[in-house]
Amino acid sequence: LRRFLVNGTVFFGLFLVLSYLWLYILGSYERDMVTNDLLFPVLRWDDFYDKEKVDLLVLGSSHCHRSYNSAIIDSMMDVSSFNMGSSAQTPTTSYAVLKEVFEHQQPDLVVLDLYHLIFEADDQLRNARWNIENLSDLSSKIGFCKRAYSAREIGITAVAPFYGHRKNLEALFYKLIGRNYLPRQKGSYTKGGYVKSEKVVSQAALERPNSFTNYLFDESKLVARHVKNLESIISTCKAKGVKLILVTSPLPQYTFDQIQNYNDIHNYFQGYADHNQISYIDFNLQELSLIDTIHFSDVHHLNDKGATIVTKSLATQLNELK
Amino acid sequence: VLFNSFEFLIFLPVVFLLYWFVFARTIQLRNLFLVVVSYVFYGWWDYRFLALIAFSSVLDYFIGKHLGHETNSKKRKYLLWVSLISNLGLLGVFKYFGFFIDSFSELLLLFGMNPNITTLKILLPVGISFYTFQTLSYTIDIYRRQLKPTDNLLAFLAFVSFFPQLVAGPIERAKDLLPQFFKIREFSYPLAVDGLRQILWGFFKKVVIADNCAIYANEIFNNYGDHGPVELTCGAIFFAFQIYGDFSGYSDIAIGTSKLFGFKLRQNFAYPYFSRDIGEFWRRWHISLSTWFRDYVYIPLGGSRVSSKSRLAFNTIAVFTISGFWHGANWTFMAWGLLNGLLFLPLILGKRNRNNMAIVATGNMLPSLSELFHMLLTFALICLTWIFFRAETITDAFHYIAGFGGDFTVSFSYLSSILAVTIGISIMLIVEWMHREYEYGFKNVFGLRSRVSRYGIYSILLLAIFTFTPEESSEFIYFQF
Repeated sequence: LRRFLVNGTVFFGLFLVLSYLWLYILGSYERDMVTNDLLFPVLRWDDFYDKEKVDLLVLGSSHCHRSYNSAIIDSMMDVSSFNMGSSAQTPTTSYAVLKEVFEHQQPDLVVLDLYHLIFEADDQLRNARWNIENLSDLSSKIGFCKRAYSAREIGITAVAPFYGHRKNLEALFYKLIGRNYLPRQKGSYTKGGYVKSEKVVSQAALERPNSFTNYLFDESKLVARHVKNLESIISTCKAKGVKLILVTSPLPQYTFDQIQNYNDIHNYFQGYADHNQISYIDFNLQELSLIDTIHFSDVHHLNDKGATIVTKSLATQLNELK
Repeated sequence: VLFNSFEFLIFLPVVFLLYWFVFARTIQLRNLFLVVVSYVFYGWWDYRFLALIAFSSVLDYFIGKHLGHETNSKKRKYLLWVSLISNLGLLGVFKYFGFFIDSFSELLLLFGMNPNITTLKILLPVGISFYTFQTLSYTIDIYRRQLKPTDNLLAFLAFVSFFPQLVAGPIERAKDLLPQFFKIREFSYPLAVDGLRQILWGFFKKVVIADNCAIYANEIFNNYGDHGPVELTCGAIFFAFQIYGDFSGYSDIAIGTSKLFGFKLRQNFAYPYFSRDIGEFWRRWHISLSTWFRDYVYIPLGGSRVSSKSRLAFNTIAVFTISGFWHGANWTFMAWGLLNGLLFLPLILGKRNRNNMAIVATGNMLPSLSELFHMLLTFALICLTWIFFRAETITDAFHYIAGFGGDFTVSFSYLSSILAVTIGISIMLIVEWMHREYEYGFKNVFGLRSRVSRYGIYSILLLAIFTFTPEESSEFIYFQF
């Protein structure tokens, strides 16, 4: 039995070495993305740590970093804002981001963008990792891991650290055969966290089947820990005396019409706002005169023109709420 | 606890260490520990159904005891019937009740009546079909005087609930497994290493092959109307490898896990896709179930020693159809069983069902052209039967098959991913072909002697398992049976 345990430990050690080697190989894709300024969390966290003061913090998924231009908010509200949105950022990750921000800054106002599809996604080993890898020190990383990962995810990361990178394999295969493997530049990072895109979506692209086609919102599909962490965000802000505003950035009209029961989505989030006596601004239900093929870069993200309109409206409404 | 869950990664080492270090003092203590962890393992899914296992076990234990002492043949028969009715009754209620009520309602509707029967939605207890058959074999064997009953309730409880094979087999016979609970179990290094190796291979088949095949098989079967003949063929082939990887992978994990605790379970799969005819396929696929039906249904019906060919045909078709129905309460499973029976019939009527008893291409690197042709033909026929197994309804199965005659277009949107899955299947087939004379597909690790190279191969396999785990890892298919 002792021999079995000793040999098992030796094997496990060898496996760990190979795991880290494999991690290095799979991670090269993201290193290439960083070199090409395609991985925004790297730029965003560097930018954040350099920032002297943050009065207003914006949190959420890519909808957030593509919809709310910090420069416009700063000039219209006379504040120093920072957009901490990141791709596929779930409320679980948002909560961990918020806690890390509170370690360095004391914002008076937090704006949290709510996007229903993100509540159904659960790939923490990717979206949370993009943030974790760029935090300033080890204790921040450990704290972030504890909040953003489940015990299962921590275990997997310890045993097979490459696990969260496994989606990179296809891109690396293309790299190996000399094909273009990096994603197309979807926007450029600007100071303060906003990602600017000049791209305009075509009508044909809007009409192609996608995750919104005949989409039916169903509360039971929402990931429990994301719902729980939405509540944690609310209670943490309350405990810190920080004002929290919930927002939802607009979808193109064509995409919006694909959703069979948008009112249920709105009512679900409005319920949280009402219950906690906080404001909820749903841009999908506001008249902003946005035109699909002018103000959107793809089937669900605003482009810079659209973001300008939405940010101005947000800043105006936030000023009124003040 | 699912084998492919994170919880199992914690559960197994903890149970292993406790078993060998803490509960090693007596056999009784070890058996008690095995019963407790097996019930925890099962109760993790739904603790309410533990009562069913306990009831089945205790009932058959006492019936077995009485059968052993009873000499009156009438009373013996009565005791056997109590066991059969109780066990099959529970199976019937939990597995088939809704199906029979629904089918009856549909039948009445056909005759213009509106029965308006509301059925209870009964949750199917995981593994009920497996442990029911296992306990039944115990009482039947005692009734036939082929087995002596045990006086040790704890050992019997451990035999019925032994966690590695509790929820999806292999369906063990009491005469093989029960005595192992009475033996002093010494830790065996080669057996434990072999067990780990088999677990590793089982995970490879489940995670890398089955779960990835499932993505495309599900997509094609769920939208078969949108696909042409090439995609439909791929769908059937992917499902064939999904169910093989899933179930034989589960069996490998179960058998390997048992080895870690010093137990030997029976081989459940013996490279069925290398079979040269349907008869050989059924000697190699889900062996523990096929032999159960052979011993407890086919032979009592007269088996092949019947005077007329029509009776032989009836016995064959009946056993295959019942075996299909065992899989699930749906006409599709019965159709699948029936179809397999029909394919097997020419072989048994022509006394050719035992033509291919030896391992294909024994001693040769490659099969002959004739062997290859027969293997491919058998595989094609098996794929055809799997369509009935996988389809939601028999109508869907026929529509799926009708789709083979559609326009010859290819519209795969994930061609590169499908290519990757095909490469995975090819690797598995090559490895299994090289190991076809062994108990499982990775047993001698290509004959490598050096520890470093063996560890290297294990690591690569483990890296592949983690790397190719799909986003949505699915449950084992046979859990639903």
